[in-house]
Amino acid sequence: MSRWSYFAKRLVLSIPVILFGTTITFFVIYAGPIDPAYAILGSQATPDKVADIHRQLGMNQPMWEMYFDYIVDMFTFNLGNSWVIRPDLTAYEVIMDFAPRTVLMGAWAVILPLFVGIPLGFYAGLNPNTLGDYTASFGGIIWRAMPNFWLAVLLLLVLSRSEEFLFGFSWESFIYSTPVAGAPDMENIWNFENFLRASKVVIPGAMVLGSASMGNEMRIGRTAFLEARNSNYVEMARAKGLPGRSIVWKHIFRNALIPLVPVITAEAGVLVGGSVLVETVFGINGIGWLFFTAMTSGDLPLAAALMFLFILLLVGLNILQDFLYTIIDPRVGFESN
Amino acid sequence: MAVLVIVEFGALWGGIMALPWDTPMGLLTGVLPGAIGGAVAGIASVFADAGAWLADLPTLLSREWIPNQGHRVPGGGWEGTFLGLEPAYAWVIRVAVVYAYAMFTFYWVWRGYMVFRRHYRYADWTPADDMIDRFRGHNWGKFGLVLVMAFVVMAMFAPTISPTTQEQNIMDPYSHNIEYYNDDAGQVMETSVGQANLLSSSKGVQRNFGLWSYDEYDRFHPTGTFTNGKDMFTLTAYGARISLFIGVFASALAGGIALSLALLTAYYKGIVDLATVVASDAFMAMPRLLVLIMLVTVLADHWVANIYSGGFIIAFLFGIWGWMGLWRAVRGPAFQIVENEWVMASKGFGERPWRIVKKHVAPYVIGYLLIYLSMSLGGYIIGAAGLAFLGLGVTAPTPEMGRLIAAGQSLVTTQSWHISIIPGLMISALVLGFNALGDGIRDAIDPKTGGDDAAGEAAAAGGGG
Amino acid sequence: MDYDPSKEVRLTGSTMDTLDPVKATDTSSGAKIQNIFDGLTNYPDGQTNVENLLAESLDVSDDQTTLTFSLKQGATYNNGDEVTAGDIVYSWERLAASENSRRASFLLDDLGVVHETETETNSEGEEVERYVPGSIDVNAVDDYTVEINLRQAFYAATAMIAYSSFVPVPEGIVGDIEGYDGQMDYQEFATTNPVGAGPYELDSWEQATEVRLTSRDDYHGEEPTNAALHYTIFQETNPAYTYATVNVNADFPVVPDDKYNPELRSFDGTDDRGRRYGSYGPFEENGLTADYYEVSTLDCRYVAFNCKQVPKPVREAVGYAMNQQIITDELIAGPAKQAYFFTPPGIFPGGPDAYTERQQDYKYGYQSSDLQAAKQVMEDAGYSADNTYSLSFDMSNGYASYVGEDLFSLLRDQLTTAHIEMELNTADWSTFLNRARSGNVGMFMLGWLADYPGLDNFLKLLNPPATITDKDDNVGYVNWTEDNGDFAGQAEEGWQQIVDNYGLSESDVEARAEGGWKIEEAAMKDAVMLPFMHSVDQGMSYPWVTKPRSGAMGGSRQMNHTIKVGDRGEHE
Repeated sequence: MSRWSYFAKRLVLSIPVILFGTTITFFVIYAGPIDPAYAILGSQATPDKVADIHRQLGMNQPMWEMYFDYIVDMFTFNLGNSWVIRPDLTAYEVIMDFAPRTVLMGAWAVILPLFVGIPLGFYAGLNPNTLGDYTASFGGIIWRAMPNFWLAVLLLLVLSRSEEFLFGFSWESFIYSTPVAGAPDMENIWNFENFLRASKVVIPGAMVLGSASMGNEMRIGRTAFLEARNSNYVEMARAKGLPGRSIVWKHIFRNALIPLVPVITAEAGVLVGGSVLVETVFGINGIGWLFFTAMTSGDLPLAAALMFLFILLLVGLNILQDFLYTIIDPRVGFESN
Repeated sequence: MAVLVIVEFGALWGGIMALPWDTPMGLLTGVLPGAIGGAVAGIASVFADAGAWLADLPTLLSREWIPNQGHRVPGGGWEGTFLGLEPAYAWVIRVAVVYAYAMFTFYWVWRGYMVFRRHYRYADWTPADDMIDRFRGHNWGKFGLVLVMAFVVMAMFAPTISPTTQEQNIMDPYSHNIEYYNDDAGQVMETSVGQANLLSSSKGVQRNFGLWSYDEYDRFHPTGTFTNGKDMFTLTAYGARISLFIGVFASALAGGIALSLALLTAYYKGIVDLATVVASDAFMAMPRLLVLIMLVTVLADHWVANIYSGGFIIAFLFGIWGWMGLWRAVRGPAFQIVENEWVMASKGFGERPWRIVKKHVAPYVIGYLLIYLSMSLGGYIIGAAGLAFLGLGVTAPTPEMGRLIAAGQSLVTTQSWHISIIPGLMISALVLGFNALGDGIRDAIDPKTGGDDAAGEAAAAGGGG
Repeated sequence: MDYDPSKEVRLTGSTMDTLDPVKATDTSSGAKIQNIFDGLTNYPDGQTNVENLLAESLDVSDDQTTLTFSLKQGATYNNGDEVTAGDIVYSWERLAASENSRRASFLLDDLGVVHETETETNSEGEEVERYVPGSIDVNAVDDYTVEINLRQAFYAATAMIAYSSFVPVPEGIVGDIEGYDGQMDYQEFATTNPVGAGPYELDSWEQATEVRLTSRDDYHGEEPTNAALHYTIFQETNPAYTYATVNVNADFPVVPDDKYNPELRSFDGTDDRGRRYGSYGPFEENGLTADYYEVSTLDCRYVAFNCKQVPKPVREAVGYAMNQQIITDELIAGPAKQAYFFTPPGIFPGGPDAYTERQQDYKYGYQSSDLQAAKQVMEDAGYSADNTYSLSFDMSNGYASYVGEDLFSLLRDQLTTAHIEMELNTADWSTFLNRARSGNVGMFMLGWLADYPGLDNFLKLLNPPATITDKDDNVGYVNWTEDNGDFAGQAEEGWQQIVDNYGLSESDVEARAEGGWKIEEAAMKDAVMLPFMHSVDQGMSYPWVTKPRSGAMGGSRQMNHTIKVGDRGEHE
């Protein structure tokens, strides 16, 4: 099977995958005991009003009809209305209001570990089995064992009293004066100063979210470096009298690239799940927080729509990963996996 | 060995009995028709009684031998503690004795195995020997084993090593009285534990009992008190029990599903394999923590959510949503083994499929599975703690680390920082232990792959809290 | 004090839902609506007395069932239109008939405006009474006179009308009731362009981040003394604390429970409304000392029982175990008032003094926890260590994280000795409420905040026939009957006495008080409901701000246009 037909097969298979996840979401959310009418009415709820709300929300149809409508709506990106959190807006508008903050944090959570983890790994590979190597490796391992939400609590503690913990360094007034926790201001984000300002607010959260992949990326960096250094082609290059350094670096990056792909895509899964906890701790009102709030306050269409988008995102990333594999790794194939 | 086990049999049995056995039995009797249900309940209660009796057997390391609960007496000194020592020292001695016992038992088992291997075993050599020897030389793995064992001992002996008992301090404080020396009155007085707890709470600016402190009722708290005045160490020791239960149960369930599917897909291939690929993709496409938030919220009202204070449902859901990475990790090895000539040969001999996979394929796959299981186990523990942190899952009064951290979150910048920090450290150490143990097992079973299967690991362990 | 009217007030707030007055149910939305919209009447600074706002005068007919308001002339909305009587008719029709309205019962049931209903069959095949659109008896006599006809006299009518759902909006502004197409889209009205006659208009509202209201120069009332209200929105207390207290980015400090130190308070006195005032500080975080006051609000937090399920001895045992003083002192960090009765002191039958006097005779022990009595009452009823009672304690997640889980833990520990095994059941708010309404709870925790300052607003939850969860429109959820409580009859009688005396006269007031006490006493004797606290709100402001103290109706019902901001110094 050629790699492109393999890729095409994956593409086709993603349809039942999305359908399956969406179906489960529907039945868990809509067939469960949560009744949004009570969330909306509060202590004023009487059966009449509850029935009214059910009619308004279209909850008086038979289950299969609701299911069919739901699937059609989702696949046509008609995400419905928010019921409880912002009853005047559509789920799409609410999500669009909340998403940018999570996207910004997520972007930093992918970039930061790359620029910290890999160089650290190279450093460890450059000086294998030294104190520095061990410290870097061991630090990475411990960092990975800490629960994200706890790490976030700790980081918040350290940053909010940074003068005490970081020898007089004040995080709060570092570069720009910003609050240590809270929502970043996403207005005019394309302005460089605003971007930096907003980034500074989300970076602690991004560091926590990126912690898992940072450890992995460090190990990849270290191994790639070691392999390249010990491999034959370096000897070859040396024998040919070529300037060794450039060849070594070229090969190191090639070696590091392939294992990096799944780490980065797997990170997306961590981001989507972990954002709930991290956003809760740092008070960033992103879509993770939104999902949790929607779920606990009975805003079913919003929760369902978010879950659908998360599924799409993860499936999309998987496809992207396969696509990258197809391009960079000639070995890939369905049967040989 | 026998002696070692017998002297502590009560404690070991107590640890086993502490698991939520009564709930499944209770449910069973609820579901079955009256007559049969009654009979089952009767039998179960006999077992429960026997179990309780066994758990109550006097043991060598009972806390009564080295008591740390006492009170000061007028004019100085302590009454009721071991040798009249300060409670802190009495407690340290008891903990030291328990760990010494555990280390000795472990050493004894190890020596017993070595003796058996050298002198009594029929075969001179088995592949397992190599693995064990490789593990012996793996310091990092051994470090993990020590950490994990430390926690297992802590969970197992929680009643013994806690400075106070769960019954007295956590479960029924108002039925127990303690004596203490009242400085103002200048005499020894009596009060209920509940009342003492109320006035021993750690709540930031207003009141705090931190690490290695005594409260005003002469009680010693190695890691301080909780927001409601209960002893943090006791809470975390019992919290380790529930965390381990969730981790082990979820791993067993996920591992079981992954193993069955791996064997099925390896043997039948084709459409079965394709279906499983799609199913696993579908499960993986739903972010685990969010699905669990969704399910736990929806099921909050259901009787399932009450088993083991909510610990069961969490463990179960983590198991159900945990097999995909494991299955992916062992699918390849399972395929390779089935392709081997000797498996083909046994097929040719007309052996039944389940026998083939059981005899030839499963042992190898289980080895691989172990590697990934010990890595994902930490993920389940962290995940459960994350849910508890959000207020979902395990409910009070059962202690769960995530709930403890959440309760202390806002206090972390005050003098009551220990409430969040201690349970966090415990989880980190436990997860670190399992990760290291996993590294060790991997290198022992499959030395070739080395430490760089980051992708597989990320797949197996990812998505935690 | 010097102040600069061009400065904006920096506030912190929590997330809000909507700016449509008839739709909003949360206090955060309410606080903004209070500033954008003006009503006929108003609670000045959130106090319980009512003043006219858009109304110039009120005539009440002899039988007290017809209210005639004359409107102030020349009052305008922020779109320039003048407020007229027709707007009132339109706005109230929206409140009654719009599908967006969530407070129709305030108009139709509590205020009791004359209207028609028709019987309709709903989708589940049940017959329900529905309001006939256009049938409320509210009429514009001329441009500035509006006449309201009530079913019966209602002493608190003007207070009810001060509730933010009753505010006028320009006639025909949105088309969600019959006969109007709407000048603007509903969504635009509710989210970006709310048109009201209040001192502020909406400038910007960034979802869950910030809200900015700017003051109007053509406001009909007292000229605003600040330029804008800027609310920064937080979901969690800790970030809000960092923002307002550590970084001093707001004009009012935020002090979470765990940072609150009662020692930092110093009191200068008590004002004529019983509010203790003085200062709080200096803050360790910023060195500033804030102006401070405490005000009791008209609310009550309580645990109650589904009496059909939980037998009386168990209820009494919980009553004996519960010590209100321990709850307010140990479980709640901030100031709180111990509660022994459901009705708050401010509107208690016979007034605050009667409350103080009667709480001494609280059946289950004033400021004490009597576990012996709890055990005794359970053992008399045949319970023992081998025959325990399983009690489920139900609450919403929100209550659990506020005080509920701690209270559960305390009561559970205490009642274990009295042979009660208590189990905590938390669920999201909607699921919990749904269960309570359908009688699927044992013991549960709830709170009630006054809609208007009247004891009937509280005690309607304890009118036995209305609490039966089999019925459609039940409230209180306690299932109180003669079968499970010896005093249900007394309570029913008490309620009848209240409804029969809804007038404004002195004798009506007395009769209501008498009826009210009958209910309170019966509820105590039957242990139907165990109140434990009345909230005390704290007001704190940094030295450069002057803000009138808010009253017992709560800060969310206070208008903010008289806040003055002076020189912030280094915190500008």
